[in-house]
Amino acid sequence: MHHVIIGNSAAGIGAAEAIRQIDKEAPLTIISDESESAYSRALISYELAGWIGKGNLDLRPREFYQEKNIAAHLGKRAIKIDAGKKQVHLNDGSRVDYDRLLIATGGSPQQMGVPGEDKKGIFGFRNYRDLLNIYDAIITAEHGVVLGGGCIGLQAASGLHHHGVKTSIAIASAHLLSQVADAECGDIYQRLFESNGIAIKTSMKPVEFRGVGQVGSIGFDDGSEMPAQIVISGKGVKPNTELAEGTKIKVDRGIIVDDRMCTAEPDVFAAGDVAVTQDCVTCESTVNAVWPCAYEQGRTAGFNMAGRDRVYDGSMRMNAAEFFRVPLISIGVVKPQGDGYEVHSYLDKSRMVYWKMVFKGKLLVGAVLVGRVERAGVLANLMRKHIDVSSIKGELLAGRYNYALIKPLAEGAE
Amino acid sequence: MSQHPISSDPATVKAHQHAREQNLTTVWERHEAVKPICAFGDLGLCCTICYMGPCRIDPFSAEEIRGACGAGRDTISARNFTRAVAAGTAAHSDHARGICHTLIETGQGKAQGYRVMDLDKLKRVADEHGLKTADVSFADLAVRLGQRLLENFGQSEGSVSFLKRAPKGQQERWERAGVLPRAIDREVVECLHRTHEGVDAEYRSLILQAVRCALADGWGGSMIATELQDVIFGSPRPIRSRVNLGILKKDQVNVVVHGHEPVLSEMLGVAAREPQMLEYARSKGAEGINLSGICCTANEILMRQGFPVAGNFLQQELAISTGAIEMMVVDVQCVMPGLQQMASHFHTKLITTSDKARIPGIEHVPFNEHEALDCARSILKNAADNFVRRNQASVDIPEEVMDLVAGFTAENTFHHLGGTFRSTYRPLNDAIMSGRLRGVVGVVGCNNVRVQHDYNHKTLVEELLRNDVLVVETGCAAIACAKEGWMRPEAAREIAGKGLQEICEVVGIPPVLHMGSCVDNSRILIACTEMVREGGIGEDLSQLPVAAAAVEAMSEKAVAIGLYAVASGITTFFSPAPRVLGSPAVYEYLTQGIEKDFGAHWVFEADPHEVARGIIAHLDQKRTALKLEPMKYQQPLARTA
Amino acid sequence: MTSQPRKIFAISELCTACRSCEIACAVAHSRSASLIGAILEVPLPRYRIEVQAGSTLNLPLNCRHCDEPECLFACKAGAVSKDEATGQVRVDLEKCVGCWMCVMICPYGAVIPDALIGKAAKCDLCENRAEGPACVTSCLTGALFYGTEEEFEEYRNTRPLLKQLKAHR
Repeated sequence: MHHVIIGNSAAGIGAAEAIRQIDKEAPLTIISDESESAYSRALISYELAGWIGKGNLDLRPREFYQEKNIAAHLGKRAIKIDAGKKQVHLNDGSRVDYDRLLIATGGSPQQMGVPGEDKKGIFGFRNYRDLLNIYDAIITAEHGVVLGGGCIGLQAASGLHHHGVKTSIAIASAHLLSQVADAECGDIYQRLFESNGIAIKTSMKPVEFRGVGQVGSIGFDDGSEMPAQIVISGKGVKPNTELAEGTKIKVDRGIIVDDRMCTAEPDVFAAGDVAVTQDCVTCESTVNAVWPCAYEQGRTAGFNMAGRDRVYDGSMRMNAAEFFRVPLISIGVVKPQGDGYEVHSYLDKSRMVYWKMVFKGKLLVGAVLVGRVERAGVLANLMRKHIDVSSIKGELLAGRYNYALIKPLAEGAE
Repeated sequence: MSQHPISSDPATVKAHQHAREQNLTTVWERHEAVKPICAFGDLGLCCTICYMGPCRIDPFSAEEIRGACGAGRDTISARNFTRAVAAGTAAHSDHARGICHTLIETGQGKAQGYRVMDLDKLKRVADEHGLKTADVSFADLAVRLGQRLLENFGQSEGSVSFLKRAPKGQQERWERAGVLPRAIDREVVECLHRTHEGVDAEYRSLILQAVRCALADGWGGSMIATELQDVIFGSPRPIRSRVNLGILKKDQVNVVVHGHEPVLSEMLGVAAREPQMLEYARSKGAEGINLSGICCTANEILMRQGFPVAGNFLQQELAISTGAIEMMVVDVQCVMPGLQQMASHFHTKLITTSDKARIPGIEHVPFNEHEALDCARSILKNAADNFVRRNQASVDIPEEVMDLVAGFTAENTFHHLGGTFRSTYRPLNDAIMSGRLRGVVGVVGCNNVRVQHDYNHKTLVEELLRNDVLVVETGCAAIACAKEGWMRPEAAREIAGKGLQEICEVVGIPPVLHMGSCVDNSRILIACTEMVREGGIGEDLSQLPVAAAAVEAMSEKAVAIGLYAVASGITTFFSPAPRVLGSPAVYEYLTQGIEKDFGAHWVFEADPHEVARGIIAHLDQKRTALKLEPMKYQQPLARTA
Repeated sequence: MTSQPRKIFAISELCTACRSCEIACAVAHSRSASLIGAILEVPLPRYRIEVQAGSTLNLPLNCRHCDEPECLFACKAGAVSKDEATGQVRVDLEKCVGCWMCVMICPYGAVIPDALIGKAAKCDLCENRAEGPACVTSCLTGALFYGTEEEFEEYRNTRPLLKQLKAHR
């Protein structure tokens, strides 16, 4: 039984570790278009911001492949799946046979669709090569602009700022972190970034990147212009679903999988940022492109590939980050649309403490925690397990949630 | 010195081993059983004052945590500290109140067996208080002095009367800081009021009230107790005796007094020497009556009558577990309730005598001053009756016993230094000025089971002696050093630095002077005041090359003593620290800020070697400031043995 | 895994919420290793066990060293690992970047965001402490136990007070 995994990040590693937990012997191959040993893409922003030493991004020790008896094809891109022959075609012309295949190809930054996008000095912020390119560019850049106000964008901005670049953030939405949290939360971080010397411009879209060869400024839809020798696009990512072409694999935004992470093509699985899963809080099908979900999905796929039946209990929208020492955790539904929701929040502007809880009926369905994030996992657990919280609502709202409080409820739910 | 973890005193180690062999539980085992010590309490961060709590302040929280009422760590630890000082002051002062009554009743002829022994002191103190002494009988004078001093407890005007004895400079500091104690009881009450829920929340204001209360102890309650005990029972004079568990006698009726008040024990001392009592003891098969003491009651009857000392605080249970004690008579303070459990395994009769202090399961024999001598005789008879119940086969008395000379006071000690004909502090001051003596240090206080028994006292004192520091001691610290033999005049030759040795040999005193019980720390205040008055080594207590140390502190009394010493200008080395370490502000004030207000500060240091170094540096700094001559003999003697 | 892993177990019924375990834990994870030294350290050492007040019982809670450690799965820095031999879940502070994924995911809330150093703090079983976990040795009432699950069951059954408590209910 030959297992092949395309992808070398959270989902791929999760699957490999799960397979090896069950089967130490079966041949196992990992294919990745990046030549580095497993590293954490998510850490490039921490490296740029100077939190960790350069090149210290290893997700697993370098000996990982050897110790786990894994054949690693690094620096090779899988370009096609021949489901009939059970083969993966690589860009160097070689082919890899598989018995079970996992597609964990993740996502890529969306094109902005803005003229001049190909000029020098404009980067995505997704992988190690992006980081190295940014290092080169910041040496000469005086002004930097980050387009996008999500976690990646904010971290990129902190990173540029850390390197002495005069940094601004320009976003199309009305507030920062619009995909992650709500306006109140966005406002807290806006003030925090501004007080640290990073300008924030909201509700404006870039219409042109100006400059000869090298970007020099950005023109916006309101007619304004911002100088920028470096531009980082912190826009969202789109799933890398190209491999599904020519197979029975169904794609709708991402690759559609069942609750065992199997695609419509037998013996082909998908996991991570490329996969569409059911959100266990909203019950909607979606791509929840976050690290813990990717690993968990990879792990589920890995178990099923290795023959141990394991059902994925759903993904969850969740994010954790920290900017200028103010931590943020956001889980579940935080900007409820429609009826039936009950929202409670608390804001202490001076101490940068904000929290918000969203209830639907007897269930907690969302939470935003800013400034104080202790025991957030307890809330996530309540949401994931659909635990009736009506008896402890008062404690939740008072911030007195802990495992001791939910233990009787959690045990009752199991 | 023994290296055994529980004690540095071999007699204690042996007696403890003996107790363990019989499966008996002592303070050390109980202490192990209650470990770990609660850190919130230890740091002074637990507040049990109101019933919303208890509230504890997490010392590891990065955020500011406050109790339910909003009191933060500074308020809470300052309140706890102030309450400790109030309790300590209350203990010494209530003791003093009793002595005032005894003096009055003695004057009225109602107190059987008592008489005014030191008429000279009676007159002096009466004079000091403006009482008419001419053409007044001593009996009347005793009544009036007793009544006058009683006013100190509750007067509505003025301030505590002995404060006037302090050097002018210190009195001015007190006035400036607004801490002149008005009446003793009032200051204790005010401490309790201010620390009640929702009253004083400002740590410095709380501590200044604690200072006012502590001064009412040192220059009030304690000083009244010392002075009136001298008046009634006679001022001590140098007297030889013996110390440690080895003084218990296998063939005699062993009666041990324990606690702090001399009122009953003095009468026991009288009765124990009466021929008819000895006759009675012999009729029960004993060779005689062996009266001895533990803790400060021991120090009282040692200082005045030369009765031997069985041990200090941590030895109280071990005295009983020798199996040789017929009767232990306890009064107040430092009496462990655990004595009852220990006594229940032996024939030993344990009796409580003060109506303020009873122990469950123990016979209470109320002591009545009107029939004091009869009461004492009846107790001794009872003890003799009990002698026949002793199981001689199981008696195990450690052989350790040491000679000592005790009985030094502010008046007589330096009378010695002056030689037979000159009663003056001149020679002491001269010895300090010329660099023979580095200074004088009071090493006082308790035993504490958290510290190896007696180890800190002895380690510190040994280093001080080797560095030409004259050591004066009271309380359990004094007993610790007496057991080591440092209260024999010969000890100077064996251990003291050359300068100290010269002084001791010329005057014929031991290098460590026993100045009495813990209320007698007031004697040290007086002695320091006399040093200032004699001149040449500072205008104020705070300028003198002196210091105080309580390095095995245990009781709230010790905290009160430490605070009045500091507030009187004497820098005090204290450990284990009072429960203020959880508040950086209170800690900072007590160890630094307080210097500005009173000319001295606390040092909280646990390592006795460090304490010694600190004290020597402190004395040298004072000497430099006074431009005194350099030390005559710089090199400390090499450590012997 | 050949032998059962040793873990820290808590008996809620015996916990008096004295919080001695928290203090002992902080001291054990301080540089000075003494109470007085520890409370003065900058940054303050962080305790990794919390006495949590439930609706009826107190629960001293620290890392459960799960068989399926979600913190490990969620850690995007690769800082969390599970020791196959001892079952211990470790955080490598050199690698931790303080992204708080583990805080977000741990269902017990047992990973503590140490704001002072910007890293995750969790129970390390006092692996370098000869006497064993400090919380356990500090517990006055025997509410904490260190050993295998089997040993814990045996220990639990021999607590006389616990029998009384059960009889009382």
